Amino acid sequence: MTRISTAQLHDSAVAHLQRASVAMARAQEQAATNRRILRPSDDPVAFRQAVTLRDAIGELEQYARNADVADRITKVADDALGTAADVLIRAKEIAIAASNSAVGASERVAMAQEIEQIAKHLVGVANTKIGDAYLFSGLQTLTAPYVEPGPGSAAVGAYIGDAGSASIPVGGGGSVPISIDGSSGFAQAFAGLAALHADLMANSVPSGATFTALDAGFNDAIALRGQIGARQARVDLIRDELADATTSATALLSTIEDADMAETIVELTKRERSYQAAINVTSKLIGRSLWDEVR
Amino acid sequence: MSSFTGIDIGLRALMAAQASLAAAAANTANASTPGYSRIRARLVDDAPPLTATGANSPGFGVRVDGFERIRDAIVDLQWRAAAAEGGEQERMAAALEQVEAAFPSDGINDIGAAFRRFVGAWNDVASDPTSSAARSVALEATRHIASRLNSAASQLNLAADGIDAEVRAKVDIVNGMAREIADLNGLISISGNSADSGAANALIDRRDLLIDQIATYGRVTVTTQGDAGFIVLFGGGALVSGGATQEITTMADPVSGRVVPAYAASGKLTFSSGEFKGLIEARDTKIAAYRTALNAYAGEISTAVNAIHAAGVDTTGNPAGNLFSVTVGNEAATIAAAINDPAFLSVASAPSQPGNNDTASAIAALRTTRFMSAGTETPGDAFARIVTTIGADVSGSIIRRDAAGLVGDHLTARRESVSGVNIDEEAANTLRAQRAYQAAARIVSVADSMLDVLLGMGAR
Repeated sequence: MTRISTAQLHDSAVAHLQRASVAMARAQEQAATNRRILRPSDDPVAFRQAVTLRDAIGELEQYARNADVADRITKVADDALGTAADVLIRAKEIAIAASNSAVGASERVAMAQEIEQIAKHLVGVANTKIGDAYLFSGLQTLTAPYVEPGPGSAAVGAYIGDAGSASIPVGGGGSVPISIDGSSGFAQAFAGLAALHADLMANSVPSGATFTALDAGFNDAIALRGQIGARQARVDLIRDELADATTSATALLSTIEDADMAETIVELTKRERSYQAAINVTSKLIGRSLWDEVR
Repeated sequence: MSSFTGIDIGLRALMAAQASLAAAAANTANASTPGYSRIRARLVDDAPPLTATGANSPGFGVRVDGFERIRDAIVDLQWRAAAAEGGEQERMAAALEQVEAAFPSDGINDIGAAFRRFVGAWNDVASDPTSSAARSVALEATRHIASRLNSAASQLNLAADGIDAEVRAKVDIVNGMAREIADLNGLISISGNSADSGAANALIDRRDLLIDQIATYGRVTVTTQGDAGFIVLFGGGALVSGGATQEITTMADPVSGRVVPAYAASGKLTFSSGEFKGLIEARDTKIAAYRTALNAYAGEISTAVNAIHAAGVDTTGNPAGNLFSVTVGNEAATIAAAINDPAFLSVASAPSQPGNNDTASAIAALRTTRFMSAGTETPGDAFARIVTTIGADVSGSIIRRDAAGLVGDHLTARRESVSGVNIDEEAANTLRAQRAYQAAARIVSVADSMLDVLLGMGAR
């Protein structure tokens, strides 16, 4: 028969109590934080998955931020090129009106003045900035791509941006450009406006070459707008995909890290009960001896 | 047979009952004294010399042959081996748990999050290369990852320093206990080295308790050798030889340079188990490995980032130089931003192109590049590996600690089952001694009244 010493009985009762209260504290911690994994040692394998997922989510969030930047750039560029197309339509209307031989010299001067204003306006459009950066000057983002013509002139200087291109990644190995070579959209238009202005100042009917140049300018602006519109459609698609991927990765992370509320509460209740039971048993055990029965 | 035989035997029975009562009283009094071994009055039948036809007298009744200390030497050996194992695992787990707690891994303030922030900030520079605000944030994020690495390195150093201090303190404790054992050896040999002597029992209990305590620090072997007497072997040398001790000092470990216990004569102590082994292994194997991994992490990131950064140009068009400065061999503790002005960050691959984001993009792209650990891991993988290693070490050490604890509990129960005091049992023993005393008194009184009859015959 195994003997049990009183001290041993006491110690093991206390040890049981201790274990029960540790288990209860742990269940309480999970219930309070609503997390299943509070430190790597709780479940090293799941913890590693969680760390990897957090990195993946961080990456997706970064791509989403990049897509937002691309979205802002394409929207501003689209607006600018829309405005450019509108003013070029007005320039062509003026050219058509000036083609009427009945138009007098003074009217042509007035028309030339309007073309000067249109040229200035278009320079303003081509010099659109986002923050500190010029949108249409390639990589020369601190330099305005076009200089306004002087008084009485519609001759806009040459493009002083460059054709370089920078882009940012948006996931899946893909990237979107954030720089635009403005000369591709505006150079012909400025040439057309300058030719029209020269014809008007010479009080002559706009030449065929002038019309060709104006049409080419309009077409270039529309073509660039088309390119940017296609980019916008791609960015929209990417943003949707990124949002979906982020949602599912976050949900996966939650299933790894977070405690199941119902399960946690059941566990906590169970731990509290067994702690209570350990207290009851211990209080019955400790302090009783044969001496209590011997008188 | 004399007429007084009855009184004589009765008297001896009274003394035997008193001895049993004394043993029960001593046991009850020491029911919760640590290290106490219960005692029992050793009662022997004081039989007469035997003749060829058997005993020709009833003998002299009972004799008290001293007090016996109830103890199982085999269980002591097992208990001490388990205590050493338990001490080792307990200190290892405690040290690693402390490292785990101090080494952030919450996904918000940890090194992984700091790296995400770092590449995120450089990505934002890439998406707006002319923005000075984005550059300022990138510089701040650069400083942030450096400071997270510095603080992780210093937490690991603090943990190792804490273990150094603990080793020193424990060396003092063991030396103190060794001196007490040497003193007890002297006292025990004076009191006749007899386990039967009541005084010696208490001294031997105390000495066994001290050896039990030393056993948690490292495996002990106890031998008795001729004149040298009682010898305690500890850590590969004689800690106590009879009345003399060999002082444990500390020295710098030749490999780790950290504090280890040593004997002046034979150098570093060697342990197969125990708290010293757990502490030293946690510090020189585990924590040292974490530090190596962290240094590799900091070093590889700084090398990769610097190569990209230095290949580019700053906003003034000059070659940009390194982004991080590190001291080789101590990378995590020393990594710092080498640049103080956001204008000197390298964003572009060529001068005079303010919209060029090549350098910033390349730094941001390190997030998904497997350039670490010989091209097998991204920085995120490397951080996950370090934290998971710590977590797996902690959970493994907790499992081993709990298993060693169960073995220890089992052996404590076995030892207590032999040597421990049960108050109910002592109550029963007390009652039995009381009854025996009453019966013996009765014998004396009956023998006395018989003598009365005898003496009365002459008086008539």
